[in-house]
Amino acid sequence: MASPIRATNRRRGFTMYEAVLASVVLAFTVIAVSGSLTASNTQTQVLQQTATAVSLCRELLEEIASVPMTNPATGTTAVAANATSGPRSGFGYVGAYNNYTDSAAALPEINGSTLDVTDGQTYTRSVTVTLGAKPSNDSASPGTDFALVTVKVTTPLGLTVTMQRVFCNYPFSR
Amino acid sequence: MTMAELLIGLAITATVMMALCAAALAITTQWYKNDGTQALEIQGNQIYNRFNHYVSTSLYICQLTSGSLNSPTTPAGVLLWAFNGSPYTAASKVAAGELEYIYYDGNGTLWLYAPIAYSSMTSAQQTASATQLSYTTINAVGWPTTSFMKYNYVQGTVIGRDLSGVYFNADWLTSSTQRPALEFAFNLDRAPYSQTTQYDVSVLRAPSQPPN
Repeated sequence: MASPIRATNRRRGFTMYEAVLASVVLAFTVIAVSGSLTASNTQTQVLQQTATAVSLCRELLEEIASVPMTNPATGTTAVAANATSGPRSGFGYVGAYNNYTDSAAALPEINGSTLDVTDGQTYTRSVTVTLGAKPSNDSASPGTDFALVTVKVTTPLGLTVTMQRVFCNYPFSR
Repeated sequence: MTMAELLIGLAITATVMMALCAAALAITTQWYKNDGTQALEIQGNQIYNRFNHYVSTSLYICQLTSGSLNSPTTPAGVLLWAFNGSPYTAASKVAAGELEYIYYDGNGTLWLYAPIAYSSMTSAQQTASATQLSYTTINAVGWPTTSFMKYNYVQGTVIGRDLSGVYFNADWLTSSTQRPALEFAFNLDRAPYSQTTQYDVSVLRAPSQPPN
């Protein structure tokens, strides 16, 4: 026969209720930690993609600085309704970039070749050219004879980076 | 406490410690990655600004070795006619003292090789650096690395480090209506956590025809 003293000294284990409660507390902790890690990782991606988008905006704006505002073929500054689909090396003047867009994992270079500079991710770039427009806070410049070029880049996460530059109409010779 | 209970307790403690370590490792890895990404973006912009400064102010892109974005060990280079005139040669003539060479060494570093200041040269160096060269000579394949970089009045300075691939491409070199543009792309690498690629173009603001 078992000793009554020994029976009362025996400690009981965890109940199912306690075990489930402990698991729930642990799960909340894990979710909280992993949530902050995911947010941090997303923030890193945002940083990377924004920097890449800025670089891609800057590339197009700098590239447009290489062409004159006046179309050498017509002698006018008229803006094309839509950029042609060929390589950008054939554009020849600022207005030819109007409504240019590219969207690919490997972006087209000026000569039409492609180069993967986005780690295989798809960025979308678009250009609009507006003649005679000027920044709203510029009250000194004349209203014509320059173009406001806007380049917009959309990142794979859906963020949009927009940069603008004013190009003046002055002759180029070398 | 029995031995079995002690062992179970130790096992639970070990598991909790492992979980804590894993969480701490994940957090520090993420910090490291964040830090590396920010540093690389700043570094990339610095390289772009330095590169753009040298290219956009030059007169002509004399020769170019394209390199490769995907091959860290492939060298790349651009020979620039930086300026023209006193104290070197007459208009449209070129001398070594007027050149600059941007060189990726295939070992992670982008260099600028340029003559030291004329006033700091010895008289022999001044004479050598002002000797007129033909365009054919400076445009010969390999001339920048086999000759120009080895002149004793030419000095290398670092434009950027941590690169793992550089690519150059020139457009509109002789166009009469467009300015020459130099496309360049480079990978920046801080293994194993951060890597970024930068693609840009630099336009010569006041280009010249090639020297003769």
